[in-house]
Amino acid sequence: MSASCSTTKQSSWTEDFGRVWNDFWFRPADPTLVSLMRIGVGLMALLHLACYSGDLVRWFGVDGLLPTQTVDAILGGGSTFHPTYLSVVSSPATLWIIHACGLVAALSLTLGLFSRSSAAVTALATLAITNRAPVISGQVEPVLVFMLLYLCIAPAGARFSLDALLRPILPSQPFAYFIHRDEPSFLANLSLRLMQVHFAAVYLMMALSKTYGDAWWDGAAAWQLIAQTHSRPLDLSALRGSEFLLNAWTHFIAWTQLLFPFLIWNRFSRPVLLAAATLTWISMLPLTGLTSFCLLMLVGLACWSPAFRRTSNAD
Amino acid sequence: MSPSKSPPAAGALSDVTRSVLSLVILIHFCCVFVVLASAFRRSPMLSRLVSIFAPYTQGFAFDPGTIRYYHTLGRQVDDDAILLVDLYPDSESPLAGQKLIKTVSLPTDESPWLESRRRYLALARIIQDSVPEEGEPEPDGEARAAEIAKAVGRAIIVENRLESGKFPRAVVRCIRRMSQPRVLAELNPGFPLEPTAAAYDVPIYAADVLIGEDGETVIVKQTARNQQAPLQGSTPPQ
Repeated sequence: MSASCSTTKQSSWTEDFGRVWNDFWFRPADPTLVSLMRIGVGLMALLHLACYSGDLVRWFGVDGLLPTQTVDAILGGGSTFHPTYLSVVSSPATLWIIHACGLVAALSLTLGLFSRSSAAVTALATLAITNRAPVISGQVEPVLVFMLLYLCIAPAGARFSLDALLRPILPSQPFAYFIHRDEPSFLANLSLRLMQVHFAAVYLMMALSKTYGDAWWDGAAAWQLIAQTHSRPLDLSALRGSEFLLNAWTHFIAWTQLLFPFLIWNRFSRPVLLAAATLTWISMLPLTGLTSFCLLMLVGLACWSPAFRRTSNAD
Repeated sequence: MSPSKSPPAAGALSDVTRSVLSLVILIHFCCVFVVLASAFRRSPMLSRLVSIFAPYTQGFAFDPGTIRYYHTLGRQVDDDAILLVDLYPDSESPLAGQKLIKTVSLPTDESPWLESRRRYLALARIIQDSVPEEGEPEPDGEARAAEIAKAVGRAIIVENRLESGKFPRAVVRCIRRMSQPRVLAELNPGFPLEPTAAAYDVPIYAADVLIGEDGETVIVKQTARNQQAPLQGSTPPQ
C-alpha cells in the first residue's frame, strides 16, 4: 500500500516536471517578440561588423597586425579550436568581398529579408571574424554570437520584415522555408527561452568574476573605470568628490548582475530586475565606452518583456 | 486570455522530437554553464571539462576565455595600456644617432565609443598581462609579448615604407597609463594633477623590430637596463 502511494507520488512529480519542462521550452509563442529582437540584434551585428571596415586589412591582411601564425602562437600553437575561413584569406580584395557579404547579411537580417538564412550568414560572418582574432575579442562577441545563433531557429521574419511584405506576393514554393508564417510557433518560444537561460548564465558569470577583486566590494570600481583615460568615452572625473555616489554606482551594478540570474524568473521581481538591469547598462555606457556591448545587453533584456509572457504562460 | 484564443499545447510536437530536443538543450547548456562558470578561475576538473567541450564552446564562441567581464578589479594590470611604434630611417644601423621619423600610436584617433579603439587597447593589454610589472610573469609571457610586438612592428614598418623603397626600423613600446587616485591628496608631492601627463605613463615593454634583407622579421627585446637579449627564434640585428 505504502509502496503504491510512493510510486503514485513519484509518478506525479515526474509528470509535473515533464509538463513544466515541455511548457517552458516547447509551448508555441507569438513571433512578435523574436521579430522585434531580430531588428535589434541585426542592427548590433551591423554595427559590430561595420566597426571592422575601417581597418579590416590592417588587422587581417598578409602584413597585418595579427597574422594567423601570430594568433596561433599567442593561443598556444594549435591547442585551441577557433575555426574560421578568414585564416586562409589574406588578400585585401577577398577580405573585402567576404566582409561585404557579412555586412549585407546583417542588413538583410535587420530588414527581415530571408531572415533565417540572413541570421545564419550573419552568425557565420561574426563567428569567422571572432575566431580569426579571439585575442582581441571584447565582451560583445560571445553575446552577439549566441543571440544570432538562437535567432537562426526562430521565425524572426514573421513580422516587421520584408519577408512579411513579400509573403503574399511570393509563391509558397520554393520560398516556404524562407518566408515565415505569422502564427504561434514553438521555435519562437524555444529561441527566446534559449536566450533567457543563456543570458542568466552570462549575468551570473559577470557577477562571479567581479567578486574576485576588491574594487567591486569596496565601491572603487566605478572610479577605477572613470580613471582610465584611454578607454573612457567621457571625462567624469568631476565626480571624484562624490564618494558615496561612486560607491552606490559600483554596488548597484554588481548586485544587479548578481541577483539577476535568480530573481528574473519570478514574475513579481522581474519588472524590478529589468528596470535595474536597464539602468545598469545605460550607466555602464559612459563608464566603459562599450557601446555595442551595453546596447546589445539592453536588446537582450527584451527577451523577458511582457509581450513574451502574454503568449506563453509557462511562468 | 480566453481558452479559445490560447496557443496550442506543447503536444503539437511528437514525444520523440521533444525528447531529442530536450537532450540537445541539456547537453548544450551543460557545456555553456561549465565554460561560463569557469571563465575567471578554473579548477583542474573544470579545466579538463573545458578542454573536452572546447571544439564546441570555442568554435561557437560560447567560451569567453580571458575576456574581462569584470571590467576592472582595481589592479595595476587593469589600467589602460597602449602601443607606440617609433620609426627610424635606417634598418641596418644601430638606433643611436638616428633621427626619429615619427611615432605611430595604436589606437590613434578612433572614437572611444566604438569597438575599433577597444581592439587596439586589447592588443596592448595582452602584452601588459604577459609581462606584468608586479608578480611572476607567465612561463610563455615573454614569447607572447614578443610575438605581438613582432607582428605590430612589421605591420607598421610595411605601412610606412620609405620613398627609397627601404623599410624603416621600429621600436615597439607598450605603455601603461597609471590611473589617478580619486583623492588627489594621495598623489606624491609635485606629481602632476593632469591624469594624461607623461608622468602617468609607465613603459612596460619595448623591443626593436626590423625587416631583414631576406624579408624575415627580427625582434630584439630592450631590457630595463638597456641590455639586448635576443629571444628564442630570433636572430640579433647586425
